[in-house]
Amino acid sequence: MSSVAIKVEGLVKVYGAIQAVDNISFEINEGEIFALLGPNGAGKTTTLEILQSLRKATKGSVYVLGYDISDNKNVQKLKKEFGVLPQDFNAIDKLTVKENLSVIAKMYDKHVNLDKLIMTLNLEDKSNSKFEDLSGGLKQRLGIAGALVNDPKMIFLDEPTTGLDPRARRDVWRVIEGLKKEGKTIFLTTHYMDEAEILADRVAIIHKGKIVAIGETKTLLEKSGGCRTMILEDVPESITKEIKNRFPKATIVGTDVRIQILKLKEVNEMISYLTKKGIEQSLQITRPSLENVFLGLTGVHLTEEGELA
Amino acid sequence: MRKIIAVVDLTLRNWVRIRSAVFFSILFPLILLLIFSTVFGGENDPSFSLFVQNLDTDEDGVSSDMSKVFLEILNSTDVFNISEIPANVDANSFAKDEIGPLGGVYRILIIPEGFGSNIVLGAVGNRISVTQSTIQMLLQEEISPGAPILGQQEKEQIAAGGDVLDNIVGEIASEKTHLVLMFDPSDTSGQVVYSILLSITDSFNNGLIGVGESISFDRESISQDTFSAVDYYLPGLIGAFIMSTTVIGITSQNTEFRKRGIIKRLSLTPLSRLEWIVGSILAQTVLAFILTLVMFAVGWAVLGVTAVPNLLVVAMVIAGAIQFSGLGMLIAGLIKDIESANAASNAIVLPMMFLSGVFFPLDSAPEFIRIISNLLPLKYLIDGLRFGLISGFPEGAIISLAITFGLAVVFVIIGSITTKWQED
Repeated sequence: MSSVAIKVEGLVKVYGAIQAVDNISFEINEGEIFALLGPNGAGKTTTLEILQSLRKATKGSVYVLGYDISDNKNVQKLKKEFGVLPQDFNAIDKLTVKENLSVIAKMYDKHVNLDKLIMTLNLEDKSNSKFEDLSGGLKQRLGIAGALVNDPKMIFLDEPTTGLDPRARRDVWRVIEGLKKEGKTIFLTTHYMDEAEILADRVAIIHKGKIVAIGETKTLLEKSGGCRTMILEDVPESITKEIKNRFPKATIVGTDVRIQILKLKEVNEMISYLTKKGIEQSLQITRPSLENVFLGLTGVHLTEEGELA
Repeated sequence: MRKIIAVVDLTLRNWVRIRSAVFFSILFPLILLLIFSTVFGGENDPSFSLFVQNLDTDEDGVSSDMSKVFLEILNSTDVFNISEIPANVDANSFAKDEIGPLGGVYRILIIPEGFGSNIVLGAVGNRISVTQSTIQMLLQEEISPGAPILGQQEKEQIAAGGDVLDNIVGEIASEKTHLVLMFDPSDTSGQVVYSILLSITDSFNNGLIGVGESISFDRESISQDTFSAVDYYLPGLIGAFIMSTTVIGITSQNTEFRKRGIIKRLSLTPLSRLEWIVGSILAQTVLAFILTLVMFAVGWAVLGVTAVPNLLVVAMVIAGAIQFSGLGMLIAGLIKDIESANAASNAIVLPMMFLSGVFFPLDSAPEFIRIISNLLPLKYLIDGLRFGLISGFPEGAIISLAITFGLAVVFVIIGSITTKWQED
């Protein structure tokens, strides 16, 4: 049985009149990748930064690697044991890749061999390039290298692939999968559902500061019905009402109609209905995804950009 | 310490690769130094105004030869812009009237009655005293122990001569001559003037008890080599650019690093806020020393600067760099936006340069300007540097040093409070 790396209970963070984090509780086991999934402004980064001791919690208790982070003495010890890739990672423009890594490395009593680390992240060709000359993907890889410089037990990755092109995203995913194989515990925040599905052992879905679902990725997908979904887009309002009457489990999101498919005959029924009514909208059938889970729990879509629709 | 050195290292590496930072920190001050020394570096460029009232005159109002010589020496230094006050008027009222209704600082040197005769008699007395000491050593065989130079009879004759000299000394014994320097206690340049006058009178005294052409020797040594216009501008420019380099350096680095998340990234390592602050200040202090050394090197090599930095100058550079680093941290802490913070730095730095006597002495400036000047930290840094380079380590320098260190402590404390290491 794996032990607990992070334990959060009743965490609350209030900024003036805004409740950014609303009484959330969860645990992260050692050696797992845990993803906090939610749209922009849901409270992911605030939660993460409280776990890193960068922000003070308004209420609640947080233990990271066994340290109670409300005690400042623990924070200094804890900082030696975790690594961080902050959101929108930046380094010093005029310094090279190696110099930037060296700056972070010198802050620790012990650090890994920087040349080996640079090779691990496939940055050896860019070792002497200035940060300002790197592409977005390379910058992010340097950020991950910075998070590994002290050989941490726990790694926080805040939106690690935001703003990257698909190829660079896949490169970063491969690095993160490699870290999991090394037994690192990884706390990941993302608004990309595919990222959470591919990388995470467990996912917590956060919406408006509350965790609306938490569990193993597979279990959450099953919660969404574990089944495929029929989607009809841009359906006129008069027809959506009729569809809702005809198919009671249909959910209406804006002008879209979504129906979970439990049996194949439901697809046949829908096709017959559409043909009979002369409705020309194309019918899409999607595989089960966290998007369905999110939609089912919140009633809103989470777009690729992390916005609600 | 390792982490602090890492902060210094990253700051200096970053600085040296930003061309505009190097230009404005080192090259621009050098260009200004060269321009000022070219434009204002003439031999007749006066630096400090000084009224002189010569009371050592005869019945017809003619000045004594010795007081004339002394005045010529003062004039030849190029340090003073001398205005003479007639012997028969109230010196203070005359000086006020001369300065006019706008006001301004003034200093008055009074050469007392009997100045010439007293120092001549004093010099004769001093020389006889030296002769007596020499005779005494001869009589006691201290000059050539074990091998007597004089016989008993010769010794007796010389001893009798010594008695005669004693009588002469008794007859010509004169009172010490007291020059009077009047200046406003708030006038820190007055302390510099006092120190310079002290140095001149010391040389004058030494010349008088020496032999040969002592007075003409003193005139040459004081006039050309000791003080020039560049010696005045150099400490001013060094002080001004220590300020601008550190204030703008810290402000731009802190605001840029904060906006780009670099401070946040560093705060997630074991580096503490205190280590970041100390490292940043230390880096700026290193830059201040680099600037000072480069300015002096060019001053010595190209502009004929003769002043050599002493411990006071070193202390002032350190205090100034700390003080203005603290001010930079304060600005960066209060203003989050990079452009606004840089604009605020410039808005603070530029007026301070003009109001603190960097480019021109403030002696003849209106009183309100001098009052404002006295409230500006740069003035005390420059005063301290000028003390160190012109006068050594006079008493007046303690005030400048104390104020600069005091403000350094205050600015660093407030700047540290505004430098956040943790988000709200």
